[in-house]
Amino acid sequence: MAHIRVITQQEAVGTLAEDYDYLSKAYGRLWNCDPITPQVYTTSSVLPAYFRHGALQNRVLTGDGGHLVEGGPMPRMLVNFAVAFYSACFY
Amino acid sequence: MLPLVYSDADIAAKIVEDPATAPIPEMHKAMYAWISKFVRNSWDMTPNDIQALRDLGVNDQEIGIWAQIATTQTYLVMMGDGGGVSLDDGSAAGPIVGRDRPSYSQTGEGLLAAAPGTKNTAAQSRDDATAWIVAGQTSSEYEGAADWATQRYGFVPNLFDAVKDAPHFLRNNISALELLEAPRSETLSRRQHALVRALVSGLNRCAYSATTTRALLQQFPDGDALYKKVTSAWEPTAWDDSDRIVLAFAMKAARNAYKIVERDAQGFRDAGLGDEAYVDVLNTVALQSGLDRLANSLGVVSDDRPILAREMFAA
Repeated sequence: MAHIRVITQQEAVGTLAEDYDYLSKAYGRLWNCDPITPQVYTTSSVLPAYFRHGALQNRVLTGDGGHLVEGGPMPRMLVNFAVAFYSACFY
Repeated sequence: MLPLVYSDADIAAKIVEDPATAPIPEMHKAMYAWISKFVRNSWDMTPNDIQALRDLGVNDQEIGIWAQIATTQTYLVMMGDGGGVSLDDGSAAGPIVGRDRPSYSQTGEGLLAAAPGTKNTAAQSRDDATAWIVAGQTSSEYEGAADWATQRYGFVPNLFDAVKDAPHFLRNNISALELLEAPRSETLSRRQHALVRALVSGLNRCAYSATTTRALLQQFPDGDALYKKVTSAWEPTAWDDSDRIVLAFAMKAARNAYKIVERDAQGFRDAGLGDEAYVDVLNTVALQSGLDRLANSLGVVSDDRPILAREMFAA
């Protein structure tokens, strides 16, 4: 259970609702499932300015929700994994 | 994630045990070693770390991209663990690489800094270079970001120049810098927000950010003394209750976010700060940590003035 109060997509209004809509559809496309927003973003739902940053970050990383921007001599997703690994990130 | 790259399940297990000895390409091993420093002791990184990647065929543009990806993932890691949110359905990485992993507890915990400190600025780039990686051609994205920075700050930070080769990340960096200018909740004071930024940059021993975080605190009475106090050894009793709650949480989030528990959030409520202030501090730590490690890992040369909106700082 989250440590703090979160605002769900169903409860969201304004920019928060816009960003939930973008994120849920982007991840639904990525995972080929119904629209869904990963839990990591909901941490910031009580402060929409930060939630917007999370959505923007996703846009930057995925080319506005299209696909992961790949390239380079090695799968870049391993960099993501490595950060989580050395951070002992449970999430 | 690992099975998508390594078809052999045993390889994934060996990576979790120790990437340095796993049967994976040398470039992958070098990346893991580089990211280990990025996460845990970015202030110890030197031009030799960049050269080690170049020697294996990783060009400067790709190194810059790795650093940016690591910056964004730093934010997500802290927000995920710090928020205490549930794992998404089908998620398996956490139990494999998270806090209960035996090999992790044997090698140390999170950020390899028990208290704030300073870094030898001589380790930063010299000879007119703004960073250890060679910046490439400009682009319309970079020019737009540079114009924005000139309008807002009166100059273009070296951090922008350093990542010129991956200009699409500048949108992310601009958003982070804007958010870091002030608190976003009603109960976290501007002074406390500035203290958090200075503490985090002190923990990351980021010479690049120090110019900004010091200037931010100098806007308050006894600003220099406050800066010295928050970037020195951590002494909880030296702070009043509200500051202590905020700063102790910031320390935990910056050092090992996986240790955050619901009791930390309750501490904010008990102190009258509330969930919004908790989220504000967590985001500030995550954003500041990402930028600090980005600057440290690329050896970005300090700017000669703080990255503060012109109306906040009279040069």
